[in-house]
Amino acid sequence: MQGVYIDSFHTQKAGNAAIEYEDAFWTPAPTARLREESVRIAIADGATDAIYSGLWARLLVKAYGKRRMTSETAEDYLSRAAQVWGRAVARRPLPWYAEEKARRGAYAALIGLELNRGGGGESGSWSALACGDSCFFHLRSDAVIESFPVTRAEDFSSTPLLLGSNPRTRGLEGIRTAAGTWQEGDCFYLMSDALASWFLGRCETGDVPWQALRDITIAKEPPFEEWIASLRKERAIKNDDCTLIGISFEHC
Amino acid sequence: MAYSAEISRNNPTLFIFLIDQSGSMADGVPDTEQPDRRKADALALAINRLLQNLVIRCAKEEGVRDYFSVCVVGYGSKIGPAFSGPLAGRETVPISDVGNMPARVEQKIKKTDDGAGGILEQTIRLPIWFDPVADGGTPMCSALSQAHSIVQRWLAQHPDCFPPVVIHITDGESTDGDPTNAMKSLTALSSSDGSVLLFNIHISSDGTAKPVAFPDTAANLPNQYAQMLFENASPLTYNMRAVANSQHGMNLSDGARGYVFNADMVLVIQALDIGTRPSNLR
Repeated sequence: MQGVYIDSFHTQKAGNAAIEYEDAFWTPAPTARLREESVRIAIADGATDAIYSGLWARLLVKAYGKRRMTSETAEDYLSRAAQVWGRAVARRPLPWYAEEKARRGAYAALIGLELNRGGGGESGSWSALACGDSCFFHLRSDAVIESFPVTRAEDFSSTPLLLGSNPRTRGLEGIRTAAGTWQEGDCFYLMSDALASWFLGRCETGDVPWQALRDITIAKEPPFEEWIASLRKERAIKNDDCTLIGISFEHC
Repeated sequence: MAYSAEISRNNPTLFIFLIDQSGSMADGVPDTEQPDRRKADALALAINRLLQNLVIRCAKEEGVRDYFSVCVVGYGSKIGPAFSGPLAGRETVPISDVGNMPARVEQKIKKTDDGAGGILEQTIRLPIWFDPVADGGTPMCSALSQAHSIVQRWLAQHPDCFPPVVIHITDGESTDGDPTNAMKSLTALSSSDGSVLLFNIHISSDGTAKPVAFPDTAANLPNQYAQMLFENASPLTYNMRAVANSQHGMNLSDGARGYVFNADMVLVIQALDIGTRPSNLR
């Protein structure tokens, strides 16, 4: 998968410590980008109102990115991830409130994208798997040609079905898949919900928010944290953990 | 826009539970499976489970985050902080201290589905902070005045907080005068994000009168006392109405007020949940 550029950025909620960041992301190692004919990229967004959500989010992106989980194998992979989560949480005695909250389990949204190169090398296919409101956007010729799984900014206000560590609320029924093709010059962006909601909202007003994303991902200017802080100050996005991954086949 | 302040560790809010502990709270709760249960017992159970849920809501892996402070004031033969155990006598208590200092922790066995076709037996720990009391008159004006002082002190230290929420639970009429002015004075207090929110929860003494939840008019309320409690209760915030409609199957209008008439314990628990979910935590 030579020639793929993948840049990731993240920051925690304002007022929280860096260690309290509860999103997680997966990008392929540089060697894999060179050797493999397909790469996987993912973001998971751990639910704020659960406990050990950051750990659950990390296990989900690993299941998708490293273990190559699909919608068909999700039940098995999530069950294994939940066992790892349960063992990690039970490693030390918990106070009554943490014990009760751990019993309820952790939850996270997941968006995963697989890119495959076609025979000619300058185009290929993509497939995506999502549960919840972390999103990916596919851009071509200065237009969004795919928005998945959320397509309208107003849908971010609803409570999404998330993937859970608890077997009774695993959320498998919330898994959605999509597939398509890419060509050289296309760009993809993966985002957790706060940023995705801002992106779709701006698109709906006729704006071109990907210009700001290009500045962030390619020119690295302004720095991601500063840019998010300014959006929060303008109340243009909600105060939440923010994660962005930009993918292109040439810097577009 | 009012009632939009973020509730965070840097900008916590305050919940005050103002609880009638007068002698009439020893009367039975009508229409329950346990006819000998006193109103005071049922209410103590509801408050303990609410405190438990508030602590759990703020719990993260490193401990309990202080998104709220909590104050439980009882009024009956005496007026004052009503926590039992190590928190006895403390007025405004950060939710982390509530979580770490219950009076005692009781245990019960809970059977649940293990998700694989079997039954799992789990030991559930039930913390207790508040014991039932039913003694004396109903000095509502004095209790509201004490709540006013507590809120005033809080607002001096947290001028930009989400406005404090006062949940007043009573089964009877005031015995120290008309509480109208005390209620108006309490809801006249405000942070930069809006006025103090007052809920009046009138619990049931009568199994025949139909409960009324969060009405937008006093028209169907049976007496002046109920109308006074309605008139002085605050309008529900947008988020509170959303919780009531989406999670408790209600259908509240924009004018719905934080007033509940002739509430049974199910409705008391619903009202406590709605009143303590003013906005999303950050």
